[in-house]
Amino acid sequence: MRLLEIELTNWQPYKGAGKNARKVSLDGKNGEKNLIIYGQNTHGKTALWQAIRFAMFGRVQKRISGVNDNDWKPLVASETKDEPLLNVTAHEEGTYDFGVRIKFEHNDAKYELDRSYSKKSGITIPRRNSQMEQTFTIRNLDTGSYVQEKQKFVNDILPEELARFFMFDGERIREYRDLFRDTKDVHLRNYIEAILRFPVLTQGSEDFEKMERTAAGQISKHAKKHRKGEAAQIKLSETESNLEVENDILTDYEEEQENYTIELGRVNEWLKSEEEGKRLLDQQDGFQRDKEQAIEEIESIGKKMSKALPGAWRAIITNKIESRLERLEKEIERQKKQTQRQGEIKTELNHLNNRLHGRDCSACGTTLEKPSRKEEAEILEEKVELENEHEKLEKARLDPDPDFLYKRQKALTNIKYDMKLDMLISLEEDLLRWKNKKRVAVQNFDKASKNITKDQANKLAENIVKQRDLYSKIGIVKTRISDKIEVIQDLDDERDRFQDILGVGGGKKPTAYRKAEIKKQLLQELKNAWDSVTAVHRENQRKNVEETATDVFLKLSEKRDDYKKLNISENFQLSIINNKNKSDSASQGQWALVAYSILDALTTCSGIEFPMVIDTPGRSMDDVHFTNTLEYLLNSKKQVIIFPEGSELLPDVGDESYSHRCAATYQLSQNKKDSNITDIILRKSNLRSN
Amino acid sequence: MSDNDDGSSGGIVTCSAEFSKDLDQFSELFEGAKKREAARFAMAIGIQKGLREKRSYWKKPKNQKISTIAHLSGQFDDKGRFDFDSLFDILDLKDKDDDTPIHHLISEYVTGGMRYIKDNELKNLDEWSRMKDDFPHLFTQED
Repeated sequence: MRLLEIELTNWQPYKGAGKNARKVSLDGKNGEKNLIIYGQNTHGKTALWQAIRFAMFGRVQKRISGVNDNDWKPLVASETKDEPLLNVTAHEEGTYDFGVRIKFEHNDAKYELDRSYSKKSGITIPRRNSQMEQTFTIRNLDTGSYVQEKQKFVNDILPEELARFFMFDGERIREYRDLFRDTKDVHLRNYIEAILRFPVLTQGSEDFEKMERTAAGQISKHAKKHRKGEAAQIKLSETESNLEVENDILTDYEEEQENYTIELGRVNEWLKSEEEGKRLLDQQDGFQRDKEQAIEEIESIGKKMSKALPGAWRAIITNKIESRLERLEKEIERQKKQTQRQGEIKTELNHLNNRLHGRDCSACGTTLEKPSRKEEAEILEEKVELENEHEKLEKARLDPDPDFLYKRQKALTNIKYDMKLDMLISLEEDLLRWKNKKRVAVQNFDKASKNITKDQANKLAENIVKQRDLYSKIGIVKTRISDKIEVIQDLDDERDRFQDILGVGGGKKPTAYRKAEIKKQLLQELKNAWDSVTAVHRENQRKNVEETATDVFLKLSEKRDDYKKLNISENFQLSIINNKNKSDSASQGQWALVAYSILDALTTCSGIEFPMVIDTPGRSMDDVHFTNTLEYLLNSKKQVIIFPEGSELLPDVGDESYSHRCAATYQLSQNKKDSNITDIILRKSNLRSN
Repeated sequence: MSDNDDGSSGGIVTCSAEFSKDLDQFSELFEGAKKREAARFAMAIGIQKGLREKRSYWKKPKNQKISTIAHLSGQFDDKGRFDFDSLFDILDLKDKDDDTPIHHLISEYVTGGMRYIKDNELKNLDEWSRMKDDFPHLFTQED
């Protein structure tokens, strides 16, 4: 990128808009591109320098105190001390539009970038950033078209984080110097790596890795599908093999069925010719069945009889037992009565004794009168009679022994069983009937047998059995055939299904799969190549920076004879190597040159084309080295914009020495009427006339 | 225990060898302890008809053993469930001076009964009506 013009509208100390907007041109008539802007401190050098950053990135750091400052200048403020981007006087006058317009050349095309702010509608006096709205356009001056992705376009020219290498303050060179010496500064190392495009390379490797992963994912998907296909292929083979086997079996069954059918036809034909014989044989079978039924029934009746017979033995003798039991009971009754009578006799004897002795009556307690002699004789006679009767009863009662009688009674009662065997007679009648049926069946069977010869019967029976057997076999084979057809149909369906899964490729890896595999392999190879190239590139870049920086440093340094080279280690640790091949601590001035050299080398090696914009370039350097530096910078291929402070480079001296290498030189001057306003005065011009 | 062993539950209940086969055949009509049931049936017929065949008269063909019905009379009377001593006594089935042991008495009446069964062909199942005349109390009397 090469800057052609900078136009400022109410930008910091540069008040003026429209026709009165402040302009700086860098478009030399003979291709001159450098610019020197002289200015005293506080006259607006930094503001102009910042205008370029603002145009590019839309913001400006408040103070330049370090590489990581994130304190941004406000868009609007009424106080100068707040360092607003809008000119304070303009703000006071009620003008709230400000901005920077730059024209530049990039990739052989001219562009106009306009970044400006104005107050939002409805806001009377903007006091905060949020009350302002931005206008940002980039127009291709050759085509008149507007760039769509504006900020990306700018960042592609120069990423903001790398701007510090191209636009820096000489006052900060010491910080750069220190940073280059401090290898532990991660940020700086990152910036160095960034400017040398290492992250791009790393990103490239990561991109390859990412692409490789994507390809691996695709392969995995294909493989999964293909594995399914392989499984399907195996299953298809199995299915086809099974189908073949099943079809063979089916053919066998069908042949078997055909053979049976032919055989059956023959048998049926023969049996048809033997109708009479067959009829007789059927008759014989019928009689045989009758006989078998009769036998079954007879057996069944026998079982029924068996159920009735146990216990029948008791029923047989029950009538005998009953008559004996009757006698036994009478005997027992007799014994009971005799015992009762014995009791009565005893009571009577007791009463007679009481009368004889004039004692009280045992029953009523009445005192009995003593009997007369006559009565006494009668009582005694009565007593003798009663005692005789008692003795007789006692003898009769104990014969037989009552216990014996009870035992027998119990035994007989236990055996006694009232049961009628009528059922046996009824069953016997059934039995006789079935026996008769059986006899008739046997007779009929024998009679039927006589009408047919044994050989004939055997042959008939044989053929009939054969016929039945064939029917049965045909039935079985038919079932088997039917089952087999179902199995084959299932297998057919299964085969179709597997063929569907396999598709037209028939199990081979599809083109997409093969392509994905090739892609992954290629990406792997590319990544390997990229990684190896990255390592080489990194090393080459390091060497390049080291060589370029050494070259610049040796050009700038007056002590060039004392030094051999600048050494940049792998991790960009910087050291000055003296002629004795030792690391030299060197003076601060020398380190300032080293910093310049490194910055120059880095920007050169970065391949980024952007102007070197240096504020107060002579700080930290003595006059000789400053002159050397200016000589070097203004003679380099880069576009260089420098903002020397009065004491560094007097405008007259500067113009005389360097104006011929510049498109123009300007001087910044404080407005005599308003100290808040800076005027830009053209001093020397090699500008292309408009 | 010997064949002649006396005792309430002892002694083998037998049947004349003459009816061994008939008894076996007749037993097939019964359920459970077939031979014992068949022998009890025969015994009951013997008692009812007074058909006692004393063991001393049993004709024993050579090499033919007496058919064993129960190894103990106790088995035959269902372990004392039925008091055959009392039965034989009360039914006057032996004389007063007859000291034949109970298992022999049973055996003798079984043998007597088997003869009746054989003679009346009861073992053929279809001759039960013959019993109707000899044992009317076993059947419902027709008016």
